[in-house]
Amino acid sequence: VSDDAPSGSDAELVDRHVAGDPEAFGEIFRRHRDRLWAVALRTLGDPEEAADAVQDAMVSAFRAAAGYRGEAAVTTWLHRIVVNACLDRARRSAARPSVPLGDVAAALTASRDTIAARETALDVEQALATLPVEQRAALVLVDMQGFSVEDAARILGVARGTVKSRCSRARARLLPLLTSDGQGNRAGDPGVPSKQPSAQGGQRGGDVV
Amino acid sequence: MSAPRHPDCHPDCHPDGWHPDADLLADVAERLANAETMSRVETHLAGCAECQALRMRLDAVTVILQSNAAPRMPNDVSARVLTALAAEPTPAAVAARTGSAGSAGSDWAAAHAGRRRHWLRRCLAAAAAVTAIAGIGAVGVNVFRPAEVGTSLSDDAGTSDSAAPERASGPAAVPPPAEPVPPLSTRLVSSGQAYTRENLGTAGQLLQNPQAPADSGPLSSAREPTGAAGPEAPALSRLRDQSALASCLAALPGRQAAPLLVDLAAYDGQPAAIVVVSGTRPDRLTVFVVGPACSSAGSELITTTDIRR
Repeated sequence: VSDDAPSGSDAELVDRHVAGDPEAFGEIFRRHRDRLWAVALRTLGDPEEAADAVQDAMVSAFRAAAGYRGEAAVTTWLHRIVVNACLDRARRSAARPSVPLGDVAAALTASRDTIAARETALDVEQALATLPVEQRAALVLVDMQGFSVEDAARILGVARGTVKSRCSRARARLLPLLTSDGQGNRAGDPGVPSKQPSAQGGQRGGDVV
Repeated sequence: MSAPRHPDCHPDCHPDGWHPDADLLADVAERLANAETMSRVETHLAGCAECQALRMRLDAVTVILQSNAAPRMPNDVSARVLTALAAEPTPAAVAARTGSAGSAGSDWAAAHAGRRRHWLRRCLAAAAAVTAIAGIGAVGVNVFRPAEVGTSLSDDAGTSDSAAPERASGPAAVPPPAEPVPPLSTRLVSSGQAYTRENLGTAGQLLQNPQAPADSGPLSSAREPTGAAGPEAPALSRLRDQSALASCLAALPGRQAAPLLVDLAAYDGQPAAIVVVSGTRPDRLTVFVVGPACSSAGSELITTTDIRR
């Protein structure tokens, strides 16, 4: 961070932004952009859609900052706006063809070095794409972004039990896709009980191997 | 009725043949099941190695997800968001505008102008610096490439933030006026559309409808809008001049080629030029919304977004 970067807590930067500091919101964005990008890309699985969602969400947050009352951490507030933007986009595009998974994998692995890491990333993102978007969002927040169930519930605007239930279902669905049964069987493991993806979230399920 | 079976279990591995499935095991792990079910599953788990293994695989799912390295926001995305934010008036400016007795239009423009000037100085300075470093000359309207702008803005945002404002404060912050080379493939229209952030995507539809009544044809033969066109604000008429438009287009950040379309219309109730260029992918378009005063001295960028072609 440069010497000229605005300092202070996130909440202070929000206050300064509302008061007219032209640098404050940009600094908030810079502090949180990677985490917001990660949750958007993992939730939507499409770099272009994720970029649109993050941009729309940041503009919304910029405009609505005066309404931020500090009940939740700034990062939680921003994540809520981004996740809502992602869910809106995912629901709108549910009927549209999915993007090639290669695009997702390329974006996700652009900064990684090892073949193993790339393969793992591809596995994870392909597997995530089979989940209904609500389950995906919950699982991304809790298991991948490290939010507590309470914060994830606040971000998603649902009850804690709903978050736990969505994560529980999501993990069960990912089990045959991400783990081996000890005999080399992974994806498509025919006998592992797991419900089929719904029409809403499983539009890419057929592509996942 | 038999309960779910999992494939790891031999048919006679449990007297009654019942085994919890992955859904139930996951629910039990989150303590979502009722007390009776919890007790039954836990009792079963204590004596069933196969289900213990399944439970471990379930735990491994979380471990795999947790260990998946998070992607970093690409520079071009970061630059795009910063550019969009640059077009926004601060809440204080909006409040001042709302409380002003002046005309709504001038207040809106004033609210945007200060904010835009500040950010645009930084964006343009960064882009100009990268162009100079890369040895890329500004020829016609093909001035900057998105990736270069993105990289520069990211660096500006991250580790070299201190240098940008100084660069931006001087005359060198503004790119030199581009040669007025008319982008012959650009279509100039006056659709009469009242654009908002929500309907900017409709600008791309004009590209797919070459017989649109508002179409004024290629820029090289730009003419007055037809009678079927919507009203065109007088302030925008200057952009019908090829040199003026080329000068404006040259000031836009992150453009690779001549625009596909320019619509002299309105945005959020104010006169604005909607500039549509090819996006970063074949199925994408980038839309810039600029004010009537757009020129090489400043694009008066109001907002920008990517849309599907």
